[in-house]
Amino acid sequence: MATIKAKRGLDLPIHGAPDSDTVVDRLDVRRVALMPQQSWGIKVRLLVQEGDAVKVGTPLFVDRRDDGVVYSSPAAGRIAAIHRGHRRAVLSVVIDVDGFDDAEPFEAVDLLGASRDEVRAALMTSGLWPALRRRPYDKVAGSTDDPVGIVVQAHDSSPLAPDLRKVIAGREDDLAIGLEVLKKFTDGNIHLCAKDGENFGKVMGEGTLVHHFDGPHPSGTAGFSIHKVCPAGPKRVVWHIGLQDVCDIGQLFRSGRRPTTRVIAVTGPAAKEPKLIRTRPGADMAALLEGESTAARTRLVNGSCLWGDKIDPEQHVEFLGRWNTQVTILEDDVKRDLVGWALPVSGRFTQTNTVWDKFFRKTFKYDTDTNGSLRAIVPMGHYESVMPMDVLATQLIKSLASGDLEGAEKLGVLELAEEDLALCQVVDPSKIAITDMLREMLTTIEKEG
Amino acid sequence: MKFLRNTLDKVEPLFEKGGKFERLYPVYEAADTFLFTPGHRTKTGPHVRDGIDLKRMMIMVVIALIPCTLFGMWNVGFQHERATTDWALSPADANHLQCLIYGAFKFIPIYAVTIIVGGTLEAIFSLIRKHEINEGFLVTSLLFPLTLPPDIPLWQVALGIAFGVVVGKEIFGGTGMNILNPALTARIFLYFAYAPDISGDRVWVSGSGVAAGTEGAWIDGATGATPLGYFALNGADTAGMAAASTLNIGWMDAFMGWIPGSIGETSTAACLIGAAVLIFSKVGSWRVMLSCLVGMVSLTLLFNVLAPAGDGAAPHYLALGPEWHFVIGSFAFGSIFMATDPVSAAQTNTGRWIYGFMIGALTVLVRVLNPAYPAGIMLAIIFMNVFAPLIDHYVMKANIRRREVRLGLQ
Repeated sequence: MATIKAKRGLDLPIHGAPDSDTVVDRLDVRRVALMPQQSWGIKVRLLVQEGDAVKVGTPLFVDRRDDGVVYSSPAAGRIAAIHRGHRRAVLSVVIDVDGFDDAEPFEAVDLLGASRDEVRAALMTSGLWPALRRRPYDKVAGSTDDPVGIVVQAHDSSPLAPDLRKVIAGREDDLAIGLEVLKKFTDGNIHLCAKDGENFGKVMGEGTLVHHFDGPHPSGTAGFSIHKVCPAGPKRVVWHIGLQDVCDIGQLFRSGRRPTTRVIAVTGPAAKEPKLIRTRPGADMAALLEGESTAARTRLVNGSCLWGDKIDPEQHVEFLGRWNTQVTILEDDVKRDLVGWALPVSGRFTQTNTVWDKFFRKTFKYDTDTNGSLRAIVPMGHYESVMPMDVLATQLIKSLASGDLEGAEKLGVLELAEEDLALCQVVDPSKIAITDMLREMLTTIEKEG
Repeated sequence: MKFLRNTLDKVEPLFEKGGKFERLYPVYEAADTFLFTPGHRTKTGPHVRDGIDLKRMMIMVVIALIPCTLFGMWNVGFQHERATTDWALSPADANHLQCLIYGAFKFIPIYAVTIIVGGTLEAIFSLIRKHEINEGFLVTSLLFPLTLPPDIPLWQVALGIAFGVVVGKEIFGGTGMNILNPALTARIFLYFAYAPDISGDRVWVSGSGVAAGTEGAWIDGATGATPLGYFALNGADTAGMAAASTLNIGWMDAFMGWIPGSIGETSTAACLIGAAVLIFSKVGSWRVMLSCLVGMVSLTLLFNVLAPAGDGAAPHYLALGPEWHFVIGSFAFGSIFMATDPVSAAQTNTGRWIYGFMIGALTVLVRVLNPAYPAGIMLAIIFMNVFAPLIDHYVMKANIRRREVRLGLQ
């Protein structure tokens, strides 16, 4: 099929990409955890208590609002702690690791003969179901959803994201089986969205369409893919899933073993040595990446610097996120420069040409400075310049800011997630908290709609 | 530097919640972030941000206005020198320093009054509303003086900017929410309220009120008429206008801007430098600028076709070519600096094309076909400011419909 090109967007010239494609083993993980709050809107019902012994695949909790969706242990060991936060929401369920071999049994399913319900039940009890996410609302796929299509995101254009093809190198069989599993869930197509020029031909069966994407970020995000190949809306549910997660599902159905490793990229301007590592799902990143930062004060981000969550030991969320293929290390220090706004050179990148560093620097050591203070929205067309979808960015953001439910819904808020508006927030001179407003709006719409 | 930072940090608690001067926090914030970058850190994703902020953005517009401002001051002096010594004086022979100083003495008081009155009002509204003092006023306060004639009474300046800030901006909720361009609102208020001081042939060159025979009075033959006024009276008689006995203005004079007019808007050349700065820095909307030009050229060419044949007499105003409309009046200044105000312009890219095109076309329409107002762009912009939300509304409706069709809802 013809290549789909993102006409607008922005590739941040950020420093800290890995030099080589070699995957380094970092399996020395003592603690792992699941962080329920990553799944938006979840109401946790715990199935374990502190001190319980668990195996790989033992159910830890379910979503009270969607009972069948089981979240299972990524390791064997003992429940060390269950951390709670505001209104007793469960922040993390921490496991002291004994090993990764002792696993709950998984009853193999004959893919050819099995019905949709059988495959669904198998995937849900296995604990791998939450790998699937859905639009609208960008949350974990519901057990009763009937998606019009499933997007498999095989290209990640986020800043410093790893090449997903390298991440799953050698797992082509798993991928093929994983895609067969996904086909059971939809009457529509499986859309595999790959980078331009990448050939997935040999793993594709019938019912899987390969789309090629080109152009600046967000050309390789689930949001853009869904928008282009299989639009989501109020009554059109679309699922999406990452390439590595499809392989994991494939592995489960092929061998009956749950995935106990995950390949991620450790990247970022403050990373001592950016590289690809093989670690454990839910691994304690704060411990694993100790000493990997060059900064005096470090911020670890679960995911890319655009849409990731803060890794914060104080909030008990220092673990690898469920869907991540990347951790970003940033400097987190405050510096206040004298009359910074008047200097034509500031060491920072801007998409406009008001700061000239970009003309003599290739990459920038981004840090967590907002580079400005909060102001009213002045719509100079910056949002549009990084918005490749057919979405009126300024109008949508204004409707978010004014809490206009109906307007936002009409303008397409339901097919969006944080990753889609992240660039708008990056280039915004008024420093508005756009993605926070988006999530608030989605939560309200879901509650009231 | 350290001392300054420490002092600011020391007084900060006084302005924070519960502090002695809590209500003056916006003033502290303005001073603090003026001197130092704010140093805020991102709380949630996106964890990194672009190097641009509103201060830098607005300062870019101010930089883009510098050529117009400097040239404007010189031109005020030059026109005065010309009117008082030698009407045929060539710009090259003028005493440049003296021209600049004379102009500065005219311009700086107007600018100072604008800043003081407008800035105070802006600060008062910020304090009452408890929001930050917005940098947008930096631009408004420079744009407004540049649209005024050099001899305007200062009390009118004060009244104008007060009207512009309060009625043009603050009653709508402040920066970002205004419908009209505040600088233009101020200008139009003066135009309608005090027409004799801001229209006609005698206000555009400084010193017209000085009694004949005294120092600084106009010499015989000097006329302060602008090309717009000339064309409105005499039709498209460009050759007649270039004659030394009348205005002594050719196309090049109008393009370079050494002609009578408001302080900062006469020079199309200086405006184009500003346009280059705005477009290169991506601060101004090239879509609006370009579509203004397209709109103006389109309607002018249509008029040229419709123009009645001039039988020996001077051709009708309709016959004036687009190259002239481009350089006379404030077309360049208006379409580059006023129409592109992001808040009062259309806010969709499609809308910007329509908005700009209509401004260009309306400008020519008002100039050529309306006998009452020789200057068209000011009214065209304010008119389209009012219509911009409507344009956006229909662009939005089209977008919404397109999305619904895609989703199979229609």
